[in-house]
Amino acid sequence: MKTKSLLTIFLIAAMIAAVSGCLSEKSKNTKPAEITFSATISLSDALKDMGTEFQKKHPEIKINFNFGASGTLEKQIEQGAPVDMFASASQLEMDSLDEKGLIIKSTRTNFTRNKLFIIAPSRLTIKELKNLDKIAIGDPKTVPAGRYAQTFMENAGVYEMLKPKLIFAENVRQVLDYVERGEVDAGFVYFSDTIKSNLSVSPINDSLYPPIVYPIAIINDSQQKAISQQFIEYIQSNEGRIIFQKYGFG
Amino acid sequence: MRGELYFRNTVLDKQMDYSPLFLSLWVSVLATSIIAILGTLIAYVLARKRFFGRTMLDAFTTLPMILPPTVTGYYLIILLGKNGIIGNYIYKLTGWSVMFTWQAAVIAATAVAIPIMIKSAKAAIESVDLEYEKAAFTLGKSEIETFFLVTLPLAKKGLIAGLVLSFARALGEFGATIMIAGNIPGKTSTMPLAIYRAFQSGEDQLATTLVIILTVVSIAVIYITTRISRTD
Repeated sequence: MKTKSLLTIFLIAAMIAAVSGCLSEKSKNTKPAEITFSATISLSDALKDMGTEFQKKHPEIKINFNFGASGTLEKQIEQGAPVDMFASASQLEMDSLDEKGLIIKSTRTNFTRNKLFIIAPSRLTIKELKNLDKIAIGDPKTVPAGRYAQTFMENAGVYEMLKPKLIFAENVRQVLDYVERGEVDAGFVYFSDTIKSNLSVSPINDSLYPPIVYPIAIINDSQQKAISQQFIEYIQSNEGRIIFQKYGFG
Repeated sequence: MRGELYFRNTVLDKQMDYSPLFLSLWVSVLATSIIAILGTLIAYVLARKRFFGRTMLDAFTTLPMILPPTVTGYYLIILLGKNGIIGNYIYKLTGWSVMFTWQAAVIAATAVAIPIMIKSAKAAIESVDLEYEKAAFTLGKSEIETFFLVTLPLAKKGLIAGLVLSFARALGEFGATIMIAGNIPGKTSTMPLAIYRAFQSGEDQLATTLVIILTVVSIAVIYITTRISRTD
């Protein structure tokens, strides 16, 4: 009997807590408007900074970031993920969404650039890559950085030789992680990913892969088109450009 | 020189790649073989022996079944990664690391499926009346002989059931595999991983084909082994 009444009291207390939680929330007027921004993971540090600065200026707006490989994010949007904006590390994913009528064409714009580099414990030339055991690149099927790396290797005439050594990662930050943990001997990452690393960065001939240009667009089904546009404008403003430069973009 | 067009075409699949099927079968059969020996051995020890740390062994070998596969994968990396507790010695001695190899896929599949075999086998062995084993001892048979001549045949149904379930679990293993073996086509991309990869890159037709193949193979395996264990 005692257990039963204890249980009842506990359940009532839990319900009161739940209900009072709902009641104490701000009324609709002062609740911040939220937008969800799916962006390629290479933009994560720069965008987080920009999000903080933007939200300081606009406390009535809350930005939620969803970072991942461009291909993965594109797939989520195609499956109906409730996202307001999308930015990828190559035109391919944006084109795919465009073809399916999922973005507002007039909002599509390019906003920054990047370059591909080799990251490893020590400096390497392309020729020296063949002496390594494992080289990490993003999975070319879903990660633009991996596709850029594969295109580069093809054009440099080393792809067939290096193909057996390639380890595919889920996104470009995982490539960085594999190299830093020593699971692989080298990796192809963006310049922006090398900023915070203590490892050696080796340049590659940038005429051997397509220019890396980042597009952004508002998703057709977005319920917050105006706010999304505001953030796009902020990203393209002087402040935004300074933050991008700080993180190695451009 | 290959430019934007090559860049875009690297996403497209040229032809059907059956390596995930062969890789999955190879990895699962190998894992199940290891489990058949190791799992039965551990189950026998847990069922018939009393020793200090017995409950700990039981709990420890059940753990990979309870833990989320990605957690098991994480621990496997801590153990066997290039800088891992055991991994770093293997690397220093041989210059080889198990990360991103098919052997890692076998280890992952074995780790997550062996608890299933241990549970089934332990129950099956415990259900064998000790009197039969004692009778064998009095007739002069050693423990090993008794195990193979008396215990094993009597526990057969439970052992086969355990093996079938372990095989199914090994075949469907994803989380731990993708962490320690990665998803490398032709090397470690088993069927579940290949399906995930195809789905992620929008190759829905390829994904569907792989799903159908895996379903048919799984049904066939379960059907055949169920029939075998029923015909006696």
